[in-house]
Amino acid sequence: MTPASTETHLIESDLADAALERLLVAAGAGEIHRSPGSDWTVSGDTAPDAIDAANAIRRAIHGIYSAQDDVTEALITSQDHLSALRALTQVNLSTLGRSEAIDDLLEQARALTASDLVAMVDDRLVHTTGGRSADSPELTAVIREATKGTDDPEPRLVGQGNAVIAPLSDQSGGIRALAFVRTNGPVYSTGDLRLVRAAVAATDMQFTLTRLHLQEIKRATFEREHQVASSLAQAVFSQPAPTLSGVEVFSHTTPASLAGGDFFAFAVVGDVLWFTVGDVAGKGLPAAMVMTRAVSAARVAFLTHDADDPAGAMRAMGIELYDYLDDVGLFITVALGTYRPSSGALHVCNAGHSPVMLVLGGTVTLIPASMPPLGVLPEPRGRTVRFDLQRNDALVLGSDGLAEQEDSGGVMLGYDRLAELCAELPEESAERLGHHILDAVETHADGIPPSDDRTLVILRAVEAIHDRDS
Amino acid sequence: MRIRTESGIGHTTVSLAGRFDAHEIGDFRKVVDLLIGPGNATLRLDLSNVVFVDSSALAEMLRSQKAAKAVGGEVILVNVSDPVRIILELTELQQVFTLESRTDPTTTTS
Repeated sequence: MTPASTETHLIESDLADAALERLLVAAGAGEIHRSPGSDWTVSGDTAPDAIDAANAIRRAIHGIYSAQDDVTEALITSQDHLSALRALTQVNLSTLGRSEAIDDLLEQARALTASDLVAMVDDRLVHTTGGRSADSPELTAVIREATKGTDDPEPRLVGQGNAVIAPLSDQSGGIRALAFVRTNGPVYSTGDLRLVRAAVAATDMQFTLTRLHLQEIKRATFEREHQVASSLAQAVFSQPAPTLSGVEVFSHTTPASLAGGDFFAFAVVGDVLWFTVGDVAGKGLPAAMVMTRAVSAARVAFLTHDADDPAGAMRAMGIELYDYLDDVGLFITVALGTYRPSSGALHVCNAGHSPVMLVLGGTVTLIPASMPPLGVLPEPRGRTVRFDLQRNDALVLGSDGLAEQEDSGGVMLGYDRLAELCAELPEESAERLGHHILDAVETHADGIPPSDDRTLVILRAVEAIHDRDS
Repeated sequence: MRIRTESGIGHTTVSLAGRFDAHEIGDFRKVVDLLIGPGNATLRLDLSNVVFVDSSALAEMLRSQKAAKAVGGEVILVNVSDPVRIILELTELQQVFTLESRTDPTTTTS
């Protein structure tokens, strides 16, 4: 925008002058000597008072036009300030290149405050606009003043009043202040300081938005990485349940969050089904990371021990994991065993895990732990217990997230109710029994989200001993 | 969970009340870590008013036990409530701690 031309004023003034001329002629004036901006002289028989009055009117009219010019210029300046402020607030530090955006920000602040240069300062000059470098004489003294630091958040005049140091509120980015300098123009007025405050407020806002934007990017990155890591951890369950003639297998796990510390693993070695179910103390991704290592250790143990020696496999697993678990301060409850359908022989070793329930002829028996969880003792020793399964007998291995699921009143499902559920549907498949138990847990929760991972593994004997013998 | 500490000459007891689960571990650790160290290695945990423990809490108690044993002491569980006792038995972790009754001290050690 440019200031309005004075041409309009002359035209308007000419109209007024023409009217005055007519009045003077009527008052007896002969020749009138006119010149814009100065008094007229009049020849002829005209009363001096009339000439004085005409000149007084001309001066008053010029005064009015001059005031109008001042008002117009002030309005234009105000519009320019508004435009500069709008431009300042629209500088987008998050999407522009940072250096380019700061250039833009400082340039707008310079325009807003009619400064010759504006600089960002921390312990030294960081960024400047207006064509001066850090070693320019105009800036050296200002930067020295700016780096002193102060608790006063208000802009302060420095030098002869031709520079202003304005501290930023948001100094998280390391920038301490903005420095405004006029090398040739007038000193900063009170009105200028208001504009400086506006520039600083806009800069603060942009810095805050940028910081929040970067935090959001970081949070989203963490979340994405968390999701990927969780998916990778849970991928250990992507393998289908094993199939072995004479036994049905149902397996299910649901982490309370994206990933969890519950696990199961199987392997068919010859005519034997190896299985393990475990629960890493703790929740979420940290527990899931430990869980994947436990699954690996279990798979190795499956392949390196005899089918009647789950305690040996458990011991090997415990020794393998002890240092790691000791370092991270966690333990793992584990049930591990083998089932040979051709003989009905079930061997189980329990390291602090529950529930481990055996359904024999419709009666539920707990298989208690014979050793503490893995990670507690450096060389754990447990016992293997043997059972002989008949048709429809089942082994149910769960995690505490089943029995400890609370309803809306805070009442847990409980181990007794879980045991009752295990004994139901004795003629149905492992799959049906599994869903029956999970549905009951879900019904008990009645919309209350799980507080812990839920895992359920069921082995159901589908071939009776006498069938095998025949 | 409420945590109360009583210290006397040669003994320190931390009493817990309420649910001891993953959410309470931070507060528990802040208190207990200050109490276990050379010259003050034995700590009694009064669990008579604990109504629930989860695996995270058990792991934290075990961590304290290992820290105490590393400086020649131990964590003694005092007046263990039924819910805690059941969990300790299910997990076979009772063999890792000394259990003590206030009126009739009995000891089970690993």
